[in-house]
Amino acid sequence: MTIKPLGTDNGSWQHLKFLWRSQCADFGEDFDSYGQATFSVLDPLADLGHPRSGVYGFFSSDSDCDLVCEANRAIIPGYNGHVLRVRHMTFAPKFDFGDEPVDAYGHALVGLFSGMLNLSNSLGDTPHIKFHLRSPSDRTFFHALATPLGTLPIFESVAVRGAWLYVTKQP
Amino acid sequence: MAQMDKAVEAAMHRIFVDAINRVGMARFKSTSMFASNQRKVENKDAA
Repeated sequence: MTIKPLGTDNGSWQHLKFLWRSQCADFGEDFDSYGQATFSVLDPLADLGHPRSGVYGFFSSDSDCDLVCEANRAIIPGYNGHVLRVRHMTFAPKFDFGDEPVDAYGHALVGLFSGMLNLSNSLGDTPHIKFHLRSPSDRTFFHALATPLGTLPIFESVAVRGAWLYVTKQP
Repeated sequence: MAQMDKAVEAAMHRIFVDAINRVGMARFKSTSMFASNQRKVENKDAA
């Protein structure tokens, strides 16, 4: 799984949308009405860029982007170091409309977490990562993850609080 | 610095798969990570 920043300047955002439009068509779905909540936020960010935010794609191959998200690095009161805030996590249409094996969903989520971990490492001084949970279903699912994820040696703590999954990395 | 090695990656994969199986695929796919579900929520809100 490869994480790539996406933008209109190099055509990568248009390529992603081409790939996902094609997947929607495979399932008889209309891409233009698909994911409006996500794309209304990510489109301008991919187009204009932002000094502390970016759009990222998680590619299992050159022609297969499994997930996209927005990541924003900020200083937040109460934290030592920067916090990487991950929002608008969105699976590719084939995961949405199709019945992929459960292993494939697991691989995509590993890609998301490892990608954000690597991004935070590359940015430096970013010991915390927060994943935004937008719905009660999100919170139910990530609650089921928090305790077992917290046992992994790379994390100091993992917890759901309010609308966020809080991850603090081991130093 | 926290780094993912193959063992951690495999353990993390097991955790995600177990969590999906525990909550059930239908509930997992009702999360906001699936755009069609966002659309259903929006439509419900609009109604």
